Amino acid sequence: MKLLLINSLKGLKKKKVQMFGIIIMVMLSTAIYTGMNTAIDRLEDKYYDYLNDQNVEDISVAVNVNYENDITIEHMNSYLNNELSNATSEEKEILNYYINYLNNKTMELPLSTKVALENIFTKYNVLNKIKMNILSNISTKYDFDYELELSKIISEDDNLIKVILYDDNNEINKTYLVDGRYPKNENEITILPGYAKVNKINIGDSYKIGDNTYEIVGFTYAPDYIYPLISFSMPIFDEKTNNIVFMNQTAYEKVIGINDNSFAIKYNGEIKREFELNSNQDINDLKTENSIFKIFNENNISFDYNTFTRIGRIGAVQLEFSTDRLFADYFLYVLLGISVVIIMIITKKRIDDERLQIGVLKSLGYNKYSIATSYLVYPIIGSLIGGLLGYLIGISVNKPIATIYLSFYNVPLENYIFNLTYLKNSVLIPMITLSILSYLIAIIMLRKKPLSLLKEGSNLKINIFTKLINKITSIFKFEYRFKYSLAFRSIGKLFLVSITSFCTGMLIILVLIGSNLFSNVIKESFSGMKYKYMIYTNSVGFEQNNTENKDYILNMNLEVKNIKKINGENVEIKEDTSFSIIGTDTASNYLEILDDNNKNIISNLTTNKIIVNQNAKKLLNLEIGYIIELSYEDITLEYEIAGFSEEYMGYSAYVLRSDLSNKLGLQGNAYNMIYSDDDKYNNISDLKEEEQQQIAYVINLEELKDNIMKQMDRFNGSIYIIIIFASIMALVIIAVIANIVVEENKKTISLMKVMGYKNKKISNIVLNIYTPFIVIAYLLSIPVTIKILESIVSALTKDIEMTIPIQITPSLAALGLLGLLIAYYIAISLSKKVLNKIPLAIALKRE
Amino acid sequence: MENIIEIKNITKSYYVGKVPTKALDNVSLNIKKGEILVILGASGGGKTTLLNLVSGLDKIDKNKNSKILYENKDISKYSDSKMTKFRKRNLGFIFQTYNLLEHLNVYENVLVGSSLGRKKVDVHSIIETVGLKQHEKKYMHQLSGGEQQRVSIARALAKKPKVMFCDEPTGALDEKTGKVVLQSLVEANNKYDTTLIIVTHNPGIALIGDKIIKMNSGKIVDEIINEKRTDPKDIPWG
Repeated sequence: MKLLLINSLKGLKKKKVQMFGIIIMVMLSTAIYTGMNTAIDRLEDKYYDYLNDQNVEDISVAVNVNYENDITIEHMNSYLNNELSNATSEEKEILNYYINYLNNKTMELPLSTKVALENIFTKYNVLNKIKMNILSNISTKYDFDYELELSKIISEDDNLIKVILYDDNNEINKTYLVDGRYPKNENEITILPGYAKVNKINIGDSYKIGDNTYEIVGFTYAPDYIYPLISFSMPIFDEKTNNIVFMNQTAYEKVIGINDNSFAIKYNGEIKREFELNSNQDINDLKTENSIFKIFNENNISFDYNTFTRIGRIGAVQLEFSTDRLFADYFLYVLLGISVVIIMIITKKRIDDERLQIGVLKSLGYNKYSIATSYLVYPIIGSLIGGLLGYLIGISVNKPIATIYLSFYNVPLENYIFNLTYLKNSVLIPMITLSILSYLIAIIMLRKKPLSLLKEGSNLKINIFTKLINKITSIFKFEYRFKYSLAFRSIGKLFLVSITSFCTGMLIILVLIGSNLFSNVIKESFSGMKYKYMIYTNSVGFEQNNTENKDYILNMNLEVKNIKKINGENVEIKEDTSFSIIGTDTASNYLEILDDNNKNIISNLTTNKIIVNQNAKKLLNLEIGYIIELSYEDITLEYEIAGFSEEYMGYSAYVLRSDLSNKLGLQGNAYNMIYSDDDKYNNISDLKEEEQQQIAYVINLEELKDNIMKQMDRFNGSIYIIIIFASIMALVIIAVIANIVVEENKKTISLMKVMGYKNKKISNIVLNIYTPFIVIAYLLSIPVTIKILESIVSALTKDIEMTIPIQITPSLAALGLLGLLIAYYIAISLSKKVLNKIPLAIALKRE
Repeated sequence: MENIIEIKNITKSYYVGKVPTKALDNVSLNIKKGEILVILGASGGGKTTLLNLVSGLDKIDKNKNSKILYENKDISKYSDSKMTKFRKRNLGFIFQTYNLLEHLNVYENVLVGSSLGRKKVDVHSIIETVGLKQHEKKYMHQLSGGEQQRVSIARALAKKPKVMFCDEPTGALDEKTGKVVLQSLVEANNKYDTTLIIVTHNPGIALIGDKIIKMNSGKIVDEIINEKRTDPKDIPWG
């Protein structure tokens, strides 16, 4: 057996292209596997320690004031004597009504009065005090600490800056010092190290915010901004223009910007940090996970956008870890799968070529198991060399990969630690997988008896398909009969060419779809938005008269109670499903609600009608005519689905604003959001103070689109890496197949040359026979790849309630096919060049 | 001399489409130990079929009277795996096409055969027997057809088989080379007392044997005992 192995080993020289193919496949897969896992290890190991060391919050909450219960008469009297002493007479009337209510709770307290009270308390900075009192009352019961996190958002030139008050007494979300020192004096600040690097700023340099100039004394991270989602006006972090600045109290009070405060809560028990929020878990069960949310059920504590952005800010990186590891593993197995196909081809070809020798060996007394063992040379050598090379490449690229992560995530990086598991897996997994499979293939192929193998032309038997094809093609010219009898002579080879073309087709389709995936989503999502600015207000306002060409919007997050089909059956929905409801007017200046035919269906909005987004339609299986029951506090709102909008993020829906307002017990002209084209919203600090106070934040849609497209370029960078890998794989497979096709037909080609056929004719008859099968295999791979991608994307996005449309245009598909065929013919002609070097006499020699 | 092989009433039919063809028709034969038996006949006469059946590469038609006895053991009823073991321990093969392993040199190709044998053999001595001592390190593409055939003889001999089957061993060779190959076979027979069964269509080759059987249409039509073997270099060719 040793000698048979030596024979196989020496025979590798003749199979350079094919062996190279296996080595490349194994190397690529193990390089990605090792590189990504090692880079993620460096982040992940540090991440959990970081959260503990900096005492990062468990949740951010919005405290909702329950005006029936949360405020006492004593509190009100204190406020009236202090903060509210300068209230206007109109405001005092409302406050007095409220005090009367507190004295006599049988009186009515309508929603409109509550809204008015909230506006007054906001105006006079009383609201935060009320909220702190509420938290103080319940903090003992639930055993948590809390802090009011004060910050401001400033939009200046191209930069979006979050200014956070630095307080070294803070116990929650402790600032992390990367370099330099914390700010002590009024003119000192710290900034993000990533921002500093990209903008070439050093410690000691000056930095201007508004009219004030500061000295940079250090670089810091805000630990609750691991992914620095600074503001909803910039939902995708841009390292170049987004900055987080820490400054002391005095400096903070002087900075002009939009207030962006929240309450950070840290429980005193052991709480497992989860990516997904689940409000049903029990706080009393502190030993197990996720006991932090009972507070939401029992008190007027609710999620606010900070809670949701926390998922992105602190927890999303966990999703990055898990999806990237999944991707690395998946890639490893896909590429190994392709290597198995190549090995199958090589093994089969080798056995076919050596059938006479094998026949003699079996006659002499060698059994098929010892002969099959000699063919293990291919997978063992391929996986050993490929695995080791791939591991070394992976180790060397782990730092650049980790650095890429750091441009998105602000978390310190752990040093590189050698992990034997990746080395073992890089070599052992390919070796074991490939060896077992190729051994089994060889055993099956060696099952023939010695006499069958020894018969001359035993590999040239006419099979049933050839007979059938001969019958069908008998009416055609000789050339076609010859061509297709050659093609169908070996069903196994035909099958392998088809399968590898199918795999290559899948890779090409993956590349074509992937390169357009997110830009399609972005394009669809923005197509109906004609406004420049989206202005969020601090509280509900009432439209007086629209002289400024604005769209007034009432945006509410409402919980779904129930969804009924037309036949009365309930649609299955998860508990706590909610919709972002956008109340709009049909006479909109800036909003178009586009359906899948790109038609504006905003006119479908009438009383009790709702237009739901495509994402909700797909994930909840909704149809036109279904009834959705929504709830807000104890109010139930019922709507009938009248259409679907081409939007893919979360669950959102459009209703008539006046209808929504009335149903909520507000005046018909209530709003909490504005769409506008007015450039005055570009610089909030230029607005009148009264208007500034009303604004929570502003999204500049142009900037947002630019920012997203820039991020897409960066994201596309990783897509391009995948494209390069997939293209290399595709080329390797094509080269291997072309090489085999030429080798298989070496004798036929040489014989035809001797007889006098020209090269072009020979190619047409002998080498181009597989073209129709390659085309068919490619076309079949398109729907299969789309289906596989849809299930992968659906698995990845299920937690964030998003769908991404997977589609490919006919022109792109045709482009892919053209690329495949060009590559195939180039590979064929290169293989032929090698063949031309062999003298005809040798090529025709009996083997 | 005792019989090493006894063939009793064996028949072999093949089907061409639905039509049965008798390739061998009720053949019986005894082969003595150390004998050189030459099976002679024109193409299609049944000589290769007989060789394949006697060597266990093919199975006889089932019949209670049919037997192939090796040292009194009936191998016609052996299973495939038992037959493989039997061939490993007892039989050697040489074919018209040499079917050597192209990536191994002469020495290594012969070693492929010897590694199947139970006892350790002196491979160099066997190579010397076939006259290839100076070519031990050469590869197959460096050898002529005759030299390659002699390598295949050495490979077959290297496991010390009791019987060696040779199917047209000189079919692809010219007269001079063919005679050299035959010389090697005869020397192996003399040295190792290996029974040789040679199939050929060349009547000249028959003269090197102890017994000649002529076959036609699947039957033995004549059986001739050769009083004296002719030296291979003296046989008429063709």
